[in-house]
Amino acid sequence: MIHSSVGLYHYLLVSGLLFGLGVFGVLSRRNAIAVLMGVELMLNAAGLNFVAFWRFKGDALDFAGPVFALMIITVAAAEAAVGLAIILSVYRRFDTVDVDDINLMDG
Amino acid sequence: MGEQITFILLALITLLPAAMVVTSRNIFHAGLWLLPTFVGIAGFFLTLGAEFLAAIQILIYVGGIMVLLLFAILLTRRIGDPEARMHNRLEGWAFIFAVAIAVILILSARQQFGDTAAPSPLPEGTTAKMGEALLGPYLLPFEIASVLLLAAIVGAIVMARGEGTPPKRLPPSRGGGKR
Repeated sequence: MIHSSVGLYHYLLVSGLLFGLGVFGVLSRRNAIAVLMGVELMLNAAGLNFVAFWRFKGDALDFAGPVFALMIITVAAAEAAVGLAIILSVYRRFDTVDVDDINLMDG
Repeated sequence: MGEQITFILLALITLLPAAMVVTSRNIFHAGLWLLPTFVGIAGFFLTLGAEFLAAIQILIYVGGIMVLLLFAILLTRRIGDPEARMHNRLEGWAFIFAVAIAVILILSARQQFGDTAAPSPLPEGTTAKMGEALLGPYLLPFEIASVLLLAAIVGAIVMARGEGTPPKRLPPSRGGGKR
């Protein structure tokens, strides 16, 4: 399994580890902004996968992979803007951004 | 050989800061640790022959999203309080779950794509080709992205603006009221 050059599996390895770190951040953090950071890590891992698959498996003249990665970056920007606006209004309302303390719908 | 060294360096400057992002006790430091991670991903895009994406990654993530996150952190209290708990009580389970997901992803990738041939040669200058693709076969997603951004901007402004201007609605003698 030892290769002389960098292959698709190595990119998938890095992206899998990055995704795992993002999952850990999303699940374990209390601060809502830190949860958003975990989401950003996961989106980055997915974008890296798209480009790696395009390079190693896809048609070099069909740019579906990079275009999808570009869409992911766009969605990430929109998600950050809307997410932070939500966090801002939650902070005004509850005076905290800890996701553990925001339990208004906890019956 | 140089390719491998570049890859290992990029992997290190991507993954080690990412680990700091999710474990750092200071939320502001966690936000700053995002910088090398995003730059490392941009480096991976460069080694994969997507120069345009690398530039966009730096512009949007480092110049936009990270700065936005840091601004939002500054608006919250107890930034560097060492007493504040940064992780919830399910941290152990979260760790087990995250490791399980990473192991599943990596093992399935190894099984499916463990031995890949070298990549096919790229055409010269993928940026121009990608621009043609965006305005040709992928015109619809391109336009949908602009509509999405418009909706996100309007939505973010509406939510962040708060509940109107209190002085006009509340009687001046009472004040206060619902925050």
